[in-house]
Amino acid sequence: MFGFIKKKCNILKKIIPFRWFYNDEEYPLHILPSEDKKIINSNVDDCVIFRHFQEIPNFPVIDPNTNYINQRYLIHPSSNIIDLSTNLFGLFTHKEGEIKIIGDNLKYFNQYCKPNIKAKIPVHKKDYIHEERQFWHVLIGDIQKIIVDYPSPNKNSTAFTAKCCVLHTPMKWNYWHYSVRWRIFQEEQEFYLDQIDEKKQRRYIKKIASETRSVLIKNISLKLENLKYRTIEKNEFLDNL
Amino acid sequence: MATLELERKHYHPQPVSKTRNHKIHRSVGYAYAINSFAHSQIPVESYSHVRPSISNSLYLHNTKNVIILLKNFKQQCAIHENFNFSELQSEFVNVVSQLVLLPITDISFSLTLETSAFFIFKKNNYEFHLNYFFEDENDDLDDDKAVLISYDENTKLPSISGEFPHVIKELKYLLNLEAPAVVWIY
Repeated sequence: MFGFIKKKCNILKKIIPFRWFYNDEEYPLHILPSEDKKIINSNVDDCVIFRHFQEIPNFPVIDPNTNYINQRYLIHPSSNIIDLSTNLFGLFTHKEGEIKIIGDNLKYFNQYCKPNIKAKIPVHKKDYIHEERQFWHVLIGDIQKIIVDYPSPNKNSTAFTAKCCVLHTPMKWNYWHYSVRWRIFQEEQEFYLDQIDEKKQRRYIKKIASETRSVLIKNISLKLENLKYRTIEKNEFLDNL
Repeated sequence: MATLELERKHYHPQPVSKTRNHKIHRSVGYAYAINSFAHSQIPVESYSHVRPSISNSLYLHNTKNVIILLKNFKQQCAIHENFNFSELQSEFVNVVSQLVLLPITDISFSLTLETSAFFIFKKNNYEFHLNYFFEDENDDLDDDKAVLISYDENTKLPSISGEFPHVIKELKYLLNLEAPAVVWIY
């Protein structure tokens, strides 16, 4: 009997749009890309980017020996450290930061996109859920333009310099997505790591991963109140203002 | 280290607790560490210049630091799914054994998702971040084993990467213990 009802429900779910079944909550539309938005090109050095983490029992967030955040909490397992995902604080707040994209459309929503496309609206419990999270924050100006030198990186490689860049990189689920990347300057060439093939990337990945970790732990703050920051103005992200 | 081991055996043929008919247990070695000459700040590469009683204390002090770090490593391995303590412990001990010999303070570390141990330590105004990458079967010649990032207060100094002995050599140079391994050409 139970199996029969379950089977009927599954058929109904396929016929009736998913949204009617599960949508007990509206997705915050102000965080989606839309036709009136543009890439943020203004100086955002005094704005804040933030990233989530989840505390593990019996494993302190702050290392008592160094007073730095524990590396475990700096970067989530699924993240790519050489292209680190963060969010610009402002219209995108901690509440939106608790959104976790899930389900079959995960790949679609996690794609980079233009700021003015009309993206699908994620559906609650099908495409996203809320997850209890904590956050670390960093002032963009504190890490942007940090330069690191590798005068003698490897016997098979030549000297290079890398510059930390914080870039506006909208995604289909989140217009306020920002990436922390490193621009490499080597022998009159300059490039980001994702612009070179995987074999060449290997020469830089461990160095860049280490630099990202080092730069972040020295500059992040767990409490937003500890930072002097501004939020972004409408004319900086809306197209026709 | 072998000489030191011989010295220790010469002056203390048996652990103190054994001579007192105590049962031998893991912490037996610390009986030697009760010595007012033990200073963690003393830069020690060789103990030949110090009296055996002091050298024994320093040796045991460093051993104790290694054990503390190893215990912490075991705890962190239990949390990190990509770390196998039994497979990595000898490599970890090899790394920390070299670090504890240096005149640095506040050694701390945490494990990362890139299967590395990110060490932080200090000396006076200098702060060092050493990311040590554990052996990986996919490693090739271009892969670094360790990356050393240094700060003079908050000013970033050039970073160093490569094989672990090379990085340690450069670190010793920064700590004024050794001549530079390479000449930097800008």
